Amino acid sequence: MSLSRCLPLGQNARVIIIPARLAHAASTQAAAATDDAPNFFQKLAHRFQGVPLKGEAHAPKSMFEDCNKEWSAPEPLPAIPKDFKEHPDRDLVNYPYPARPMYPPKSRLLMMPDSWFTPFQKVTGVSGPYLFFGGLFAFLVNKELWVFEEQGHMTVGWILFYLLVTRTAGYKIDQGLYNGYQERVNFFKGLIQEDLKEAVEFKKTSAKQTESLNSIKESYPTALKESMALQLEATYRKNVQSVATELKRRIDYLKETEESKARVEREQLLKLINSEVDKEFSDRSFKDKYLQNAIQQLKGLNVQL
Amino acid sequence: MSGAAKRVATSSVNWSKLAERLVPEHAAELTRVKGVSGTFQSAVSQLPADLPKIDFAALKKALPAHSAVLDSLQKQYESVKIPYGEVPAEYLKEVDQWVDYNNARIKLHEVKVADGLQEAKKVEEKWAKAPPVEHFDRQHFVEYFPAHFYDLRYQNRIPDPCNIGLNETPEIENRFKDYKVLRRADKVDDH
Repeated sequence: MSLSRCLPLGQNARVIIIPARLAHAASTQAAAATDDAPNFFQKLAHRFQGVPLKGEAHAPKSMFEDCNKEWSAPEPLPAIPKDFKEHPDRDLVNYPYPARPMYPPKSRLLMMPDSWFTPFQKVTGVSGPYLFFGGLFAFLVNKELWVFEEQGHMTVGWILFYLLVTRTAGYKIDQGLYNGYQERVNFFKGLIQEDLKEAVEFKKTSAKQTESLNSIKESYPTALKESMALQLEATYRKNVQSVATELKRRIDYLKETEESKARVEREQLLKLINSEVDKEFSDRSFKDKYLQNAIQQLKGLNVQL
Repeated sequence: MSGAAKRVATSSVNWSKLAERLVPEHAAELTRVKGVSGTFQSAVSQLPADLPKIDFAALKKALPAHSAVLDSLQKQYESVKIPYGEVPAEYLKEVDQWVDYNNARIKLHEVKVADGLQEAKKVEEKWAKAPPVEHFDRQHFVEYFPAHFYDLRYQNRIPDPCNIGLNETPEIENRFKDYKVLRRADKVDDH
């Protein structure tokens, strides 16, 4: 309604209103339609948002991945045992062992330790210590007890540089230092294990040798005596075999004697029978008598060839 | 047949189980003992244990002509007495001597083990009393790793940060024992 004053609406005026919602919806649909094939600008947007493009396993890693990250150790240092004493007379209550802290103590404004602030805090609250040290500083500057030199303003630049380095490369520096420290500690632990290894291996070896000697003590006297007894048994059995062999030889001799006798008798009898049969064959009357009978029998067969 | 008091036909020692429990230097001994015993064991297993029984009645029926000879053989065979014998006493005495040697060996081993365990206990106590490596102070490194660190506050040695071996020879110490500059042993001071 407020715009109607500027428009010269008259008889011949034509006004066409395009609803913005329709255009917005159209552009939204267009964007949705091109999600599978992002254009150049959409690719840039995906890169900055860390969305992996099509065909990528994961988003590419940037050199600024570790910027503005605060490093912390994956696991803290092992604690000192509670009952650890370097010497039996050590007073652990008033003089505990100076264990190495994992992180530096808390500080304020990058330069003032937190322990300076805590005594004031319960009286004046959080701002009290700041006002105290600020006022002290102002007093020293005002009375020219703290005099700035002309180069002092460069400290601000160094502070900014320090912040820049710690916010960008601080994470990687801390990580590298921690890994180096772990390697160094593992080197010393390796030396300790190497020193203990001899003791452990000696215990194992001596235990094995003790067991071995005990086994020998149990078994060897029995084994040696049994070896001698087995030798005796072997000799006895050898003698038994000799006797059995001799007896077998004699019995076999007797059997062979009988067999030889029977064989000779059989041979003599066969020889006699053969000689008599041959003698009969040679006689002419025997030949004629039996030959005629044979011829007649053959004729009687009436064989037709 | 035999009048032996007791006969040993097999060894009662479990060789395989015994071999598992021995250390390599004792396994060589076992090989020799086992070899000897194995030789006789195989001989014993191959030979007959007793005289075979012969059926002389059947033989007589089969061989009537040799009845007298068979009678004689039977009589001889039944009267055979194969002597078994016994292990000589001096051999058993040798086994006893070996047992004494073995006992002495075991005693020596136990003494050595006791000494070794004492040394091992020292080492273990040393490292048990040490603080964790992560919390070592500077004097602990010198105390526990003397091969890698030194402390010039009480050790008489020259700093050698580049490890060129300044402390390995006494030349430097002899050279600078006299505070005078460029002093040599062979220099004649006759001015």
